[in-house]
Amino acid sequence: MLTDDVDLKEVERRALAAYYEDGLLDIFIGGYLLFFGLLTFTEFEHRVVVWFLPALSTLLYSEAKKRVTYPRLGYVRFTKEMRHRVSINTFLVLFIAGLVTLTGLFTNMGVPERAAWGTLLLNKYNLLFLGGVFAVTFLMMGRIMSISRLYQYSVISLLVFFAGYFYLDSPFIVSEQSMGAPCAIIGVIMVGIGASHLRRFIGRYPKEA
Amino acid sequence: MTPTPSNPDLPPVKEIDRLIHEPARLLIMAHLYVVEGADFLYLMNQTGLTFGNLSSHMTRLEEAGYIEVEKSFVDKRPNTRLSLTDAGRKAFDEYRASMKSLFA
Repeated sequence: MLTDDVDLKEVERRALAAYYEDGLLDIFIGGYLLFFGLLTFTEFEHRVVVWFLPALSTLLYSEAKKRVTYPRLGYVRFTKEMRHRVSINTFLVLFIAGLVTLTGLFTNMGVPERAAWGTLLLNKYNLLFLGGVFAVTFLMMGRIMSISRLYQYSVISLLVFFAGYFYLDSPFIVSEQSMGAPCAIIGVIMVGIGASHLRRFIGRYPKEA
Repeated sequence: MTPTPSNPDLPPVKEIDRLIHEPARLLIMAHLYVVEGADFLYLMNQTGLTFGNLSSHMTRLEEAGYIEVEKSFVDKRPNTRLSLTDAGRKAFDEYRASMKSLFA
């Protein structure tokens, strides 16, 4: 750092990485995916609740940050530019949630025989499509937020959805559930990894007496 | 070996801000430069400085007008928030420029 110039990009990257080191983001996104995935296996009819969960999760997430992260790591207010990047990220997360829900409803409704070719294609390959969307979204989030583990989720999503496409097409699992199962699996993985990061974070930054 | 002050090719060493050049203070300035503001605990964790060390450097930077220190209470506990002033931001930019020219 003390060479001809101070590597501010690296300082900024570390600041962001430290802020997300707590694993709370993984737990909340994973928790949502797990909830949604499990919901497809139930008879619960008021699925509109899935639309409100991202908003509720955002509130709970900021509360968890206040209670877990700030007392241990300390408080940091990022620049407008960085906050803007985080907003884009939040939008992306909501976009995934919306897309998953919409595709779920869409698949559940069934497709008429004379539907447009795009609709038929999306209906037939919706798992591959979702796998791609998840992978790209996690990739973008990882880059925006400087969290390398999101790249892992990108690969995991792709693998799980692709595996789902080839193996879940059984008469026992209806199409909506074949979408819910990969979501639940990714959710479990994310919650697990998030919890392990949270445990490490709490050990590394003990709360001051 | 003594340097030749009259040599025009010599980089402007004298122009380097010694207050910022000290490693611990440089760390504090760099961390505050990339954010809008941070509290004492965050800077302690990010820089690896001890409470006393950070406190003394913070005072020096505050006296120079490079940082602004705001003391308040959060959840009934004292909280010290630090941010770079415009003068501090300018001084840090100048420091970086002079270091760049020194090694150019």
